[in-house]
This record gives sequence, C-alpha cells and structure tokens, in this order.
Amino acid sequence: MTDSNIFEKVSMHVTRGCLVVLINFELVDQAIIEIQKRILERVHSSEVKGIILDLSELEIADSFLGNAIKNIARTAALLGTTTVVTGLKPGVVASLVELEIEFENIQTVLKLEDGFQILTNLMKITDRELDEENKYEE
Amino acid sequence: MNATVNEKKLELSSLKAMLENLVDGVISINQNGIIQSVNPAVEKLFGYHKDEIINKNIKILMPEPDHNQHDQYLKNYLTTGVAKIIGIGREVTGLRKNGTTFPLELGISEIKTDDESVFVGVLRDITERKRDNELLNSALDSLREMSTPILVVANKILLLPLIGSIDSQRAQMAMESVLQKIQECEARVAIIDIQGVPGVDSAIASHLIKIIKATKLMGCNCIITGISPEVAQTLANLGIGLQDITTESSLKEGLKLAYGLLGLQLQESKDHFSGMASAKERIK
Repeated sequence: MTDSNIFEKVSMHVTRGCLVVLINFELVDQAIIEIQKRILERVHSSEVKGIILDLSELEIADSFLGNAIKNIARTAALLGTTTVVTGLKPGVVASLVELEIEFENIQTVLKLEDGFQILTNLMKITDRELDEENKYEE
Repeated sequence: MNATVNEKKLELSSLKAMLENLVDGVISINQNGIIQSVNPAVEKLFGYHKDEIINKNIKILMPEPDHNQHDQYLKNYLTTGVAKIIGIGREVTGLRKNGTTFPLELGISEIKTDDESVFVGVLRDITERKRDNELLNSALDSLREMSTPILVVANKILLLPLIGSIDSQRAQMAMESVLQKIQECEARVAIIDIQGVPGVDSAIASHLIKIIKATKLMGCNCIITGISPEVAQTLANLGIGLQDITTESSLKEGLKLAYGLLGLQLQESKDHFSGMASAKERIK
C-alpha cells in the first residue's frame, strides 16, 4: 500500500465543532507520524475545540500508537483543543495496559455519542466562562 | 583373583535381582532392532510371555506410525549418529498383545562394543499419571471458569466479585472478561468487590490497579468495595496509593455511589412492609 492510499482511508470530519478522526486499519509507524501532523494542521486551520479519535476498528495497539495518541492530545492541548478517545476494544485496552501506557489526561469513552457529549459539555462550560469574563469587561 | 571373581558374581546377581523386581520395563535390542532380553515387568506391561517376543523385532510393541518407521529410525541413527530419543527420553505409545495402546515414558541408552551396539530401553507406564494430569487440568479449568463471574446488577452497572487468592493468570482472565462485558453492556460503572480475597499484597494490588486502568480506558468508572480494615492497613503499609481509585468499604455503599454516578437514586423505603407489598404488586 502506498502512503497516499493510507491517508485517503483515514476519514477526518469537522462536525458540531469537533474534529472526528476515524482510524480504521492498523497503522505503520510512518503513517502514524503523518496522520498526527495532518490532525494538528486541521485543528489549527479549522479552530475546532475538540478532537475525537475513534479507534473502534482497531483490534490491537502497540506502544507506538499509544504514544502517538498521547502526543496528539498533548500537542492539541497546546492549541487549546481537548482530545477524547472513543471505541477502544478489549484487545486494544489490554495491550495498552500491558505496555503500561497511560492516557493521563485523555478521556476515553466507549461510544462516539458519549465522546460528543463530553466535548459539547466542555465547550458550553468554556463559553459560559467567556461570557462571564465579557460581562466583567463591559 | 578368586575374590574379585566372587565380587563380580555378586554384583551381577544383585543387578539381575534388581532387573527382575523392577517396576519399570527394561528391554535390550541389537542394532537391527531385534529384542535380546526383557525383564518380567515388560511381560506384565505388554501382556506377552517373554518367549513370544525375544528374537522378534521391537516394532511388534509399537502401534503405527512407529511400527513401520522404527527400522528407519534405527538406520538413520546408525548412519548419521543424530539421536532423536537416545539419552533424551520421550513420551511414546506402546501396543499390547491384545491390541490396546497405552502411553509410555521411554528412555534409551546405547551400549557400544567394538563392532556392535546394544540399545537398552527403560519404559514406564504413565497411563495413570496422564489421567491424573488431565483430571487436574479439567478441575483447574472449571475452577478458573467459576472464578470470574461478572454480574450485571443494573443498567450499565457491572459487579465483579473476586473470591479467593488472585494470581496473574486469574487477574488476566478477570480483566479480559470484564472488558468484554463492558463492551457488551456499554457499562458505565464497574464495581470490584474484594471482600472474598483473603489477603491483598503488592502483587494483587498491582493486578487490581491494572484492571482498574483498563476499565477506565473503556470509559468506565471503577469502584473497589469490600476493603476490610486489615486490607486497608496492608495497602497503607505497602505505600500503595489508591488515590485515583474510588473505594468504598461495603458493596452497599459502592452501589449507592454507582447509582449516583449514573444520576440515579437508590431509595430506601421507610416502611419496609409497604415497600415489599408494592414490589410484590409490581411482580404480579
């Protein structure tokens, strides 16, 4: 498989103020780095406030993928964006735990729906905070 | 001179007595595979009289495929010198006179003279040992199956009562089944009750922490219940922090908390009898 094929397969959509990334095949290390780059570029250009990484199609994970996810979340946080990981399968979870990879500040939920819920709640809170700040300025 | 001959004689006859009374079968064959001698145990094992098998090819004591291959095995060894079984020992199958087969543990040693080799095999019937092993394994299997039940106590709430000591294998199984169940039921809260775990040491604690991390990755809140004062003390003494982990002393409290996390409320009926009555009414 050539590289360009791989990226056509990764679907990225901006919806409800979130960037939804569906990773639906086992990635080789080089591809992970490339996807990481693309996600961050997209976050930057579209100014979304949340990223949902949907891994529900993956059956297993390695340390490289685990660290890449952590990396995406950390870098996205610098751009003011929160990352939520959805749809981890038992096999993926077992391998992450076995490899002692910890998603310190990344929320993980089972369903995409719940991921949206978390991010929209978060956005509402930030909006409210902003409103309150604006009030003071007025 | 006489003394040494006598000593040798004594040695030989004591060796013979040993062979005669040995529980294990001993067979010697020449390099063509022809049986030279057997001890009484062989007669008992295979059901032949020794006159029936001496001077016969050893393969008459073997079922297929060894029966047809044995001559080749010998030839291979004699030409290449590569031992597949000599000096190594192996589990093989024996063929009795009545046609039944049985498992054997076989060890072979080679005795070399100037122009010829003699092979001596020692065989032990391991039917019983194998049966005992299988029995033990199946018992262990069923014990393992029984050991990690997962109950769906309410919508999106799972209960994993752990009973007995936990080794890494059990912990692994518990983790796998709880993850599977979380996915199936889309559970939001998993309660692990460790009241039935006799003692918690650092190994068990680390297994538990692994399970808890895994459930968190599945988007599940994990509550540990049934921590006895002794266990709490041990954990504290071991310096194992359960800071990020929600713990409750009893299952009752754990359930209450679980309901709370789901935004539900567990209500205690003030009047026990009216509660029962209305519950019965609902069942009808």
